Amino acid sequence: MAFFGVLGLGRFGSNVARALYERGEEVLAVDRDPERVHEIRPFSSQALLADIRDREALVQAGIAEADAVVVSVGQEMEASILATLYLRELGARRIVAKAITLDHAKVLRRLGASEVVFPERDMAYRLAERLATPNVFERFAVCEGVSAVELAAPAPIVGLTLGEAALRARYGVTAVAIRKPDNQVIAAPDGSERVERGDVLVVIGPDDRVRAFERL
Amino acid sequence: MSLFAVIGLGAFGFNVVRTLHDRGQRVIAIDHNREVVQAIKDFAYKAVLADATEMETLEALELGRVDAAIVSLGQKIDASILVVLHLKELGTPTIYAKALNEDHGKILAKIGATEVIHPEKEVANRLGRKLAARNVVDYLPFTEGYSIVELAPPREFIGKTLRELRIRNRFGVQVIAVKEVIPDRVSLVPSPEFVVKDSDILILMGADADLDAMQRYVR
Repeated sequence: MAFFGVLGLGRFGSNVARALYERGEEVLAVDRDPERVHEIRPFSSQALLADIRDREALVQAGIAEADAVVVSVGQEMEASILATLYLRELGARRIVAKAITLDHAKVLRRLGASEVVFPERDMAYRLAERLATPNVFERFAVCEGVSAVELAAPAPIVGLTLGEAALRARYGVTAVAIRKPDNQVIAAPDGSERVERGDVLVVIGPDDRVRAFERL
Repeated sequence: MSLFAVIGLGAFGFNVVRTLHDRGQRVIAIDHNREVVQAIKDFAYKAVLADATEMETLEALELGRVDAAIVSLGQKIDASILVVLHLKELGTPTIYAKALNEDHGKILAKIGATEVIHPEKEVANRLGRKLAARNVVDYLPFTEGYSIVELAPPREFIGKTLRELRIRNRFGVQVIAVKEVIPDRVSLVPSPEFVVKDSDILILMGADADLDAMQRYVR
């Protein structure tokens, strides 16, 4: 079990706190609104009424001991900036901060946030990618320059075995899993596996090759 | 190539337009703020300064004929409800609408939004899962129960080939890539002869239960 701090319990913060708590993690949830603190009580290990701009309150809460701290103060840019600064100074190991504008994100990163999430933008990317490539269900950056996608089996390879399709030689991608229409998953499929209509493939490869494969 | 309409150009709508444009799609972008409309001009097929809550505006733009409309009217709950209603009447085939809270989402769905998007909630849930699972790179939501995780190899792996380690047989998970620091590169679907180094990061894919078991084993 790990220990997490969630500072700011608006829609974002309360959902993060719940998601962590429901997975059996220890969660310290902080907000200065008594109602929000009351509402998070059943979904956190400790619910604390405090202003996160109060450095001393953060010290006393033991927030610096957390494995990760999520700074999720809704629309108050100043509070999130101050909290990120204090957390850095107090030696917090990992700070994930929520941004509401691009400039806000830049400031948070400069101050030392390990990760900045920007829900409005992040979801926008996801939706737009889905709309532009309707056959692609999900896209992940595995690491720099490499992505994995879940996509409907492209028509040119339907009916072929993976061996016949020669994905690696022809398209520079590798199929790492196939989901059949009955939801059965074949992980690490071998060359004899036949791709059928309605299959979902998980393929991995360099970004440009994966993109080309999506457009088959 | 499809034609989309994005109504409301806050952080969400603006980024939807830009990404669609980058992917070679045509977008009609609408907002009532002159500055924002000016800023989106280079990324939109048509950038329109208008009040989208007026039925006539939507009708004149022939929004019933787009492939999909995205309604992302920031903080204005009533405006987004009206726009979805109008689009529905115009016959727009697919409508994505951004909701501010649960009740707003329910209303949008009831009046006919094809899909309601809750950015704060969805990104929060993803982050929660990711933090709880520590090494997880990402989940495969359409292949339920499967994930991609990063793993620093335990000492017993170092100097051995993937063939010798038999990771797939022992743990039921597969090594889909190895991130190497020296030299700085990524080996995709490495061969069985790949020798694991101390500085490598293994990228594994498998069923969540198998990945959990493996992470516990190596810890």
